[in-house]
Amino acid sequence: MKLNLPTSACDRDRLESFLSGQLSVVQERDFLAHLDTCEHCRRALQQLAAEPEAWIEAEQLLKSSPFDSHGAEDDSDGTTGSSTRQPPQIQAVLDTLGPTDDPQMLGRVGGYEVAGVVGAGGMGVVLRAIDRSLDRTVAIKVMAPHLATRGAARKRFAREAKAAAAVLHPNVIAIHSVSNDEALPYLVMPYVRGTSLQKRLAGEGPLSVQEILRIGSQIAAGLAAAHAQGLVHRDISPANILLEDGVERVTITDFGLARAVDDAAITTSGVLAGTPQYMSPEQARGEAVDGRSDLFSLGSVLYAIAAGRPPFRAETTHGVLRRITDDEPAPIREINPDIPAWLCTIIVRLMSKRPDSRYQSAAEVAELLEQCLAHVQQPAAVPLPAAVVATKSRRPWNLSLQRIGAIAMFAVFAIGVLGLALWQASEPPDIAGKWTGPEWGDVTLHQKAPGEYEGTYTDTFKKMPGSIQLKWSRLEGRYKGTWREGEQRSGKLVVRLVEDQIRGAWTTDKESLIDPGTPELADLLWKRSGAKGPELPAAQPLGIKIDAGPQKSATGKPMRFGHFTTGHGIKIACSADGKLIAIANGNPTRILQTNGTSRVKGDWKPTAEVFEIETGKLVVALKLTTDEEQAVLAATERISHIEVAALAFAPAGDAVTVGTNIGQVKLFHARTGELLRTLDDEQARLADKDTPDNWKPLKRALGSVSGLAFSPDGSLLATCGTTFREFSNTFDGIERLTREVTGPGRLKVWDLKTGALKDDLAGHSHATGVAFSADGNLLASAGRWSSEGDNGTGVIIWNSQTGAKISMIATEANAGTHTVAFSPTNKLVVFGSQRYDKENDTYTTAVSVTYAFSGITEWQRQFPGWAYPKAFSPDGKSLLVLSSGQSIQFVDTQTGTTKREIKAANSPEGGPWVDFALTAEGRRLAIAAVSEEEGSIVLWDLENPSSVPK
Amino acid sequence: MTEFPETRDSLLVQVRSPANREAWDQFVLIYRPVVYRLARRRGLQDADAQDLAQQVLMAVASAIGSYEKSDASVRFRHWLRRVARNAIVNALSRQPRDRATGGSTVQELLLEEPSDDHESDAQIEWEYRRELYLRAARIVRGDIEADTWRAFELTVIEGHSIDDVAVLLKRPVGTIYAARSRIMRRLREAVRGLEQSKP
Repeated sequence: MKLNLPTSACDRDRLESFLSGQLSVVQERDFLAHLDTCEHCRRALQQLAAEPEAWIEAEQLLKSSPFDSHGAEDDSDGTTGSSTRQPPQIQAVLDTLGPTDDPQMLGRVGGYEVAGVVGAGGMGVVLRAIDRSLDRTVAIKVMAPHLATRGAARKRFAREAKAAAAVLHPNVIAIHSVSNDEALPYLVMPYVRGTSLQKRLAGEGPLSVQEILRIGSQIAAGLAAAHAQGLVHRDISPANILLEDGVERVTITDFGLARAVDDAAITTSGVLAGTPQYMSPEQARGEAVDGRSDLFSLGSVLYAIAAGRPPFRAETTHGVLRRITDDEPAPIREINPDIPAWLCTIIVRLMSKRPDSRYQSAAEVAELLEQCLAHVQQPAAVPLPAAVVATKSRRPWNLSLQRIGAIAMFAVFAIGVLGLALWQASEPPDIAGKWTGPEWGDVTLHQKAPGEYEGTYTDTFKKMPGSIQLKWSRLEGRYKGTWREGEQRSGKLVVRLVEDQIRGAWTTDKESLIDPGTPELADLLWKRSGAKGPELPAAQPLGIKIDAGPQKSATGKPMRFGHFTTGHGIKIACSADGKLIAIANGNPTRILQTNGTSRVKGDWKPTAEVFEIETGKLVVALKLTTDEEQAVLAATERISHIEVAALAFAPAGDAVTVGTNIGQVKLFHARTGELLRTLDDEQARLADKDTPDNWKPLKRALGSVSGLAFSPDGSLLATCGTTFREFSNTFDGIERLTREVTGPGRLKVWDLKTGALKDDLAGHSHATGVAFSADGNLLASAGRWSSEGDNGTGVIIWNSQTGAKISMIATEANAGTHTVAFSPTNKLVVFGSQRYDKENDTYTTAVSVTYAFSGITEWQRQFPGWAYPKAFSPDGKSLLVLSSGQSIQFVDTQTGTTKREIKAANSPEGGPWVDFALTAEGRRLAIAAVSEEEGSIVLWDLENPSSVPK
Repeated sequence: MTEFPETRDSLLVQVRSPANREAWDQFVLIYRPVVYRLARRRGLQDADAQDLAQQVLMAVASAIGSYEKSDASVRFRHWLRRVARNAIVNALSRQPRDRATGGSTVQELLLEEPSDDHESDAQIEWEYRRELYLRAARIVRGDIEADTWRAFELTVIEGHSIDDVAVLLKRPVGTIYAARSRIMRRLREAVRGLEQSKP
C-alpha cells in the first residue's frame, strides 16, 4: 500500500502558492503529479484561480471574432448557417424567450422551443427551434430588440415577411408563419441544413462550370418568382444563397431588404444596406432599382464563384462602390482559364453597367442557364443555346499566365492590343530595390524567381535584421508572404505596388512572443529610398551649422530639440541685409510618440534667437513674455505653453517681429533684444467676455497668430490668425459648435509708426497666411471663407491702403489654403492648397501661380504630401518650394517646371527639413533640419558648390 | 504660420497632469481597437472603420480641455469613457461620407447627446471588456511557454476536454489542469491591472 507522503496530500495553501508561482521546481513537480489523480484538488485549484464568472468571461471574450482583423479577403457579414456569437444582441433576444420545461432548451417563442442560435444579422437573430406539434425543426428569425421599439423597423420587418411569404418557389425561402404583435416580432421558416455560398467559396475557391450553371439557374428561377410578385431582392450576394446539404437545391434567403418595385424609399441609416460588393451600379448610386438590378448582382455572384473572388474589390466601401459604377472587372478567363468563353459572355452581359444592356428578365436568364447546363451535362446530345453560340469570342492567343513572365518583352508592345489593365492585374510588378517605411526601417528586396522576392528590413525588435519572403498571388493580384525576426517573432504580410509606393498590411503570428505594444494588424507603407528626381547639380552645404536651442554646449554640437512633425515648430527668417538670421524654436521639448500622441518632456521654454549668419554666433535671445505676463500665463491652467507661430524681419533697420499662439505680436530690436512695441487690439480684446479677467494686462493683437508680413517700406505690418472669441472658446472648455463665418478679427493691418490698428479686414472665416506685394500696394491673405451660400478656400487680394477687396481666387482644395507669397514682379501670387484624398488617405498640395488681379492661373502643379511655396528668388525667376520635408525645389516661375532641386537626403543630417529662408541677395539658403531629438540650421551656398570646410 | 491640416498632430493633447496623461495613453490603446470593431460590426469596411476610430479619438482628445477645467470631481478615467461613449454612438449612427477632417466635424461628434441606446452601450461595454482581455492575454502569453498557453486556449476558449488536450499536447492530465488555472489567475490579475491602472 502506498503511503501518503506529505507532498502528495491535498493542501490548500499549496494551491495558492502554485497559483502565485511561489513553489520551487521540485514542489511544483510533485504538485503536478498530485493533480494527475486528485479530483478534489483540481476543482479547488480551478475555484481558487478565479471566480466562475471570470472563467466564463475569459471564454466568451477571448473567442476571436471576424472583426478582429482582416486578412486579404473581406469576410462578408452573412451568417446563415454560421454560429458567430454576438452576445449582447443574441443575449438580449434570448432574454426575451419564455420559460421552458425542457432543460436542454434555451427558451420558448410562441409554440416553439428554442434549441440554439443560428446567427445574427443587422435586422435580427436567427434561432433554431423545434415545433413540438409537428415534430420538425424550424428557423425563427427574431427581430433585434433595440429595433423592435421603432415603428419604421417593425414595418420593414413586416414587409420582409410579406415579401418572402408572397413568393412560393422551391428556390426562395418559405415562410411558415409570421408574428407581428408580440414584443418581438418573428418569422418562422423551414430550417435548412446547409452552408451559404459564401462559405463554400471561401473554403473551396472557384466552382466547376456545372455547379456554376446549376446554382445560377436556380437563383435566376427564384428571382423570376420574386419579380413576378413585384419584388426586388436587392441583396443578392453569396452570403444570402443557401446550399442545402445533400440535395442540389439552392435557396435565396434574407429578404430583409426586399422592396416592392413601387416603393421609392431608399434606406438612409448610417450603415450601408446590403453587401456593397455585389450591388448594382444603380444601387451604388442610390437610384431607383428594378428586377434588372438583381440580375447584375446575380452576375457578380456568378463572377465570384467562377473566378474565386468578387469582381469589385477595394480597400474602402467608397472604393468598392466607385469601382462598381466606373470600372470593368478583370476578365474571368485571366483568373480562371477553365471557364468557357460563352459563360463569360453571359456573365459580362449580366454585369452591364446599363440595365438596358442586360438580360431583361430573370426568367430568360433561368432558361438560358438551364439549357447551358443541359449542354454541359451532355455535350454531344444537347447543343449550346443559339443565343450564346453567336457571341463566342475569338482570341488570337491563348495565353496561360505562366508564359506571361517569359514573354514580358512582348507585353510592352501588346499593351495596346489587350489593354493595360489586363497586364496590371496578372503580371507581378517589380518591387525589387530599397524601400523605407515606418516600423520597418530600411527594406531591401531582391527577386528570387519570377513573382518571388526575399529581403531584409532593419527596424526590428532586437535590432538584428529581419527577413521577408513574398510571393505573387495571381488570384488576388498582390504579394503575400511572411516576415521573421529570429526564432521567436514572425508574421504575415500582404503588399501591392501602388504607383511608386508599396502598400499593404502585416500581422504578427499568434505564436510569436509579442511586444504588447505591437498592434495585431497594422498598415504598411514603404516608399523608395533615394527618390528619383531630376539630376541637377546640387548645392553644397557651406558647413556652417548654427545651433539653435535654449543652451549651447561648449563643444558646439547641435542642441536637443523635441521631435517635430513636418511643418510644426521651427521658423526661420533672414534679415534684409543678409547678416542676421532669426530662429524660433516653437516647442523644444515636445516629443511625438509612435502612437500619434505627443508628450512634453521636461520644462518647456520657447525660444526665439538671433544669430549672425557669417559666424553662427548667437547675437541675442529674445524674451518672448514679460515677467508680469509670465505670471498671468502660469496661473492659467488651460494654457500649457506658448508657441511662436510666425517670425519676420523688418525690411529696414534691425527689427524682428514675433507672433505667438496666444495672439501676441511683438517687435524686438534684432541686436539688443529690446522690446520695441507690442501690438494691441485693446478694444476687441476687452470686448470678448470669455477671455479671463486676469488676462487683461496681456496685450494681444489677435486670438492667436498664424501669419505676419511687413510691407516693403516697413510702415505696415499685416497679421492674421483667429479671433479673440475663437481662442477664448478654449478657456471654459465648452466646445461650441460654431461654424465660423466670414467676419472681422482675423486679418489686421497695423501702422508701425504709431502702433495703432489700421484695418480689420473681414474676408475670411479662417486666415492662415499673409503677404504684401513688392510695391506695397497689394495685400494677399490665404485661408477660408464661409457665409450664406458661399464657402470656399483660397486667396483674397486687397488694396493695402484702402482695405478694399480687389479679387478672390478660389481653389478646389478640401483641406485649406495655407500659404501665400507675391513674386517680386508684383503681378503674380503663389499659394499652396491642400487636398485630402480619403480613398487613399493621402494629401496632395496644389501650388498655384496666379495673376493677382484677374485670378487667372498661370500654372498649377500637384505635389504629393505637403508643399510650402514660401518665397520667390529675388530676381523673380524661381519659386522655392519645400516639398514634404524632403527637398527644396527651384521652380521656374513662368512654366512651373523644376529647374533645380536640393534634397535632404544629400545633406549631412538627412532631413526632414521643416522651414527655410533665403538671404536677401538670394545667394544663400538657410534650412532647418530636424531629426529624432535634434534640430539644426544649415546654410547652403547656392552659387558655389565649394568644398565643405570643417 | 505653416499650419498644415489636421494630421496626427491634432492628437496633441494638452493634458497638464502627468497622471491624466497616462490615463489618456492607456485609453487610446484600448479604445482604438474597440471602436474599430464596433464599426466593423456595423458593416463598415476595414479602412472606413479605422478612419472612424481615428475620428472618435480626435473628438475625445479635443474635449479633454473641458474636463480639466470643469469636471475635476469626476475621475478622468470615467469621464473619458462617458465622452467616448457619446462620440462612438454618434459616430456609428452617421452616414459615412467624404469629408475633410476639420475641427468642427470632430466637435459634432461630441456635442450631440445621443438618445439612450442600450444596445450600443452594451456593445461598447462588451468590446471594451474584450479589449481588456485581449491585451491581458497578450501580456500573459508573452511570459510563458507556447504549450502552456495552448493548454489554456484549447480547454478554456475552445472547450475541448482536458483528456483530449492532454493527449494532444503529450502532457499528463495534472499538468493541463495546472496550466489552465495558473493562466486564468494571471489573466484575471492582468485584467484587473488594466482596469484600475490609473487614477
